[in-house]
Amino acid sequence: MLEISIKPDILFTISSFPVTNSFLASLLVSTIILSAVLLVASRLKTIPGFMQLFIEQFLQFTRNFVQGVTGSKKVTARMYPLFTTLILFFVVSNLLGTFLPFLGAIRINDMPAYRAATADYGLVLSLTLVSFIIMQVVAVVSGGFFGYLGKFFNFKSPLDFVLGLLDIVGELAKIVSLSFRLFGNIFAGEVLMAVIISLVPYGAPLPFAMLGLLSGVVQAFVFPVLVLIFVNMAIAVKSENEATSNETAAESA
Amino acid sequence: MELEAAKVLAAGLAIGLGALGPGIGEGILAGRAMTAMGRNPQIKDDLFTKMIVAMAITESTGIYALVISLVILFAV
Repeated sequence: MLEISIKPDILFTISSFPVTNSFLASLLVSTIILSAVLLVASRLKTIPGFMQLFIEQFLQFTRNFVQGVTGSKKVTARMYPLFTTLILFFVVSNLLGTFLPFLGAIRINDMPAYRAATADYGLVLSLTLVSFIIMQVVAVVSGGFFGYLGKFFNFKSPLDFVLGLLDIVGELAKIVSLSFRLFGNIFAGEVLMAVIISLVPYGAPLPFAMLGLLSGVVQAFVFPVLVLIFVNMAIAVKSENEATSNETAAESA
Repeated sequence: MELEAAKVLAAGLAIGLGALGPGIGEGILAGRAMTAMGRNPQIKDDLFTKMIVAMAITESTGIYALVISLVILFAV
């Protein structure tokens, strides 16, 4: 039987704190990102070398992308760090298993010592919850507390009331849809690789590794983009209200 | 029916039926994107990135079905 489990394996415990293989992988990812960035930052040059150029191009690209979606300098300055951090972490953790395939062969206590950090539902869910809380806080701050509540409890007509209740379900469904999309893709990629390797060990897994490469990059990009769009929508509610209030003001005048 | 048989059957049905919608959706998406690229080849790079992102969102229902079937097989 293949060794596939939804939960990451607990390798050992440090005084009742369970250390799982996904946790080790996320530490490894953080170390890689931090050391690469610190190394480049310690020797900045006017004429950039390869690494500095690469990082500068990446930051430029994400900044332009956020600017294109939000269309405002203020929102861009606030959203851009979260967006870039999420993309960096997801890209590195999704691609680590493909670029360093020998990691899967290391075993601790007869359990694989490496499992993609994003193949642990706990990590994906906690990052989703962080983004979800940011969305709600942005909605409250930009629309006012009563404006925020008024979106969900609307007593103008029975239809509006039902639609408002449905909006609550829609907000909560964002948690499930965001986290399942990333976790499902990465975990399914690992299961697919395990099944193919057990069927045909040589050659055949290569196309599936390419597929994993594509879906890893795309999903690492889609998650932050959706977070960005949801936050932008939370802000847009306010300007919409302002527009309608302006309209009513114009009509009454 | 035995529990194990029911689980295997349920997992197969979940992913099989769940893959129908995303398959149709991605087919339509790719077809329309190809048409647009054929009519206006200058914007094909821009369209291609947007098509990939839209496909990732379209296939998410399929991924949900996959997660459910994997949970049925390996976690319940």
